Amino acid sequence: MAELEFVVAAVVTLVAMSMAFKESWLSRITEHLALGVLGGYATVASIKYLIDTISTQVAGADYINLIPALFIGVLLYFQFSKEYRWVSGIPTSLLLGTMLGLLSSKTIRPQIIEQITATVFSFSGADAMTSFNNIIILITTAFSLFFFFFSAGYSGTSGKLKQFARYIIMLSLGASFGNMYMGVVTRLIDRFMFLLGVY
Amino acid sequence: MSTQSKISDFLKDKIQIVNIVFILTIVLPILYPISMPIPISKEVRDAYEYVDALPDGTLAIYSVHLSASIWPEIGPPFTAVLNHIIEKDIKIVFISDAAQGPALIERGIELIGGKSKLGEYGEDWVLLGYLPGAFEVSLATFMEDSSIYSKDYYGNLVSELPLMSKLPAGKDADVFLGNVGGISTLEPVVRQAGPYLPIVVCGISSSGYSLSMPYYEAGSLVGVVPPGSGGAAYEYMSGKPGLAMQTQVTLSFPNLFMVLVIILTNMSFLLKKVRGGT
Repeated sequence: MAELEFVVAAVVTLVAMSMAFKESWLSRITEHLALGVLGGYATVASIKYLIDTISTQVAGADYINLIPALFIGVLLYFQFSKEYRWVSGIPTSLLLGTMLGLLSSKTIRPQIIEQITATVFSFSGADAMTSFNNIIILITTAFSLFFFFFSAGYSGTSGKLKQFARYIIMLSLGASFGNMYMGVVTRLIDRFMFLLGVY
Repeated sequence: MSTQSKISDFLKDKIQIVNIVFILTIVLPILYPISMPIPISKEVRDAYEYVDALPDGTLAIYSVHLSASIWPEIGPPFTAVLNHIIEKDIKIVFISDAAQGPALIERGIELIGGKSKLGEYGEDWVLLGYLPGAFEVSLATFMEDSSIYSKDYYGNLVSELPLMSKLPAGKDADVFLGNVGGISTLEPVVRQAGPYLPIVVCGISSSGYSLSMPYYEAGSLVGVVPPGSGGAAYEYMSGKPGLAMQTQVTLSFPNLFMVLVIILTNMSFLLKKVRGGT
């Protein structure tokens, strides 16, 4: 059975890679297969969690938490009814409200205060290079914010500043793209290592 | 159409030649590995030194966002850190917000030598499994009340696991180790676990690495192990070479090839412009 697993994985990998040369009905099947398996696995895993939670709470007679949670969960299925779709808005709003509340209550310190402090008030570093880097970060952050906050055109002094900010943003996007490219190639290397029997 | 004419038609399309050379730059270093220096960045060193300094008996929450698609990026640093942790007496509680996470955690454990390396299940380590739903909400709830998990990945009641009696809430742990998929999983960790525990990012996808650096520079993260060179550096520092080092060395050649292609195509574009072409 383990050998069959590796054979199937190798065949699917090679068929998926053939898309780089020519798309075919086989490569399209592997795309659908990947999406189907991912979706199916996640669905089964979620249902397993639900069954485990319900069975544990029923066994412990913990109905105070279970019944309201099940009721709110069932209300979500009204999404499929044309007439009573509005009912599904109640649990949706509860879920979104909870998430937004948790998000916003803990955003201020790490994502605003600490970031501003680190950007604006940290000129000195362990060595000269770190201090230089900190100054560069402050300048490029200021220019990037200027680019997005002000809708001035590309003429005059503000235009030159905007042009410089644009180059900075393009540099950072290029660096991000380079990182992303390396991640994709790493995945390709992993597949080749698998095909060549390295692990 | 003869085979020879099919091959010649195929090779007339220059992109196929580039594809073939690109594949060779990956396959040849895998078949004939060479050793190369591994750079060690400050954030990796900080992550390693922090984990190395953890005292015996430390209780760690290890949040692993692993899926099959990002295993090549996050898997090697994950195994590198696990290889480091098994040398110490650190208790680990694995949680995951990805459906495939628990299965891939088991794969990582197999790669370091099996479950016995982590100690006794239930006493030294626990795999709680996948928690569906919005990661922000599930992690926030777990940090306040770990009974959000009723059963672990293997079907055991969480209330009957001795290790979980020391963790009534996630915030009662000593350190938060995270293998995060990207910024969308890192930010909930920083927001929900950050107020309570020091966070070490033991692996992050390449798209999220550059976005995680502001949090590292601001002190929200103790250390970050990036994909590729980070995992390789971590293996080098822990003295246990593995997948990450092999992948990193192999990665250098297709990267060099792509830089060459970019330079050549840009030169061709500039020459055309200089000559007045379109």
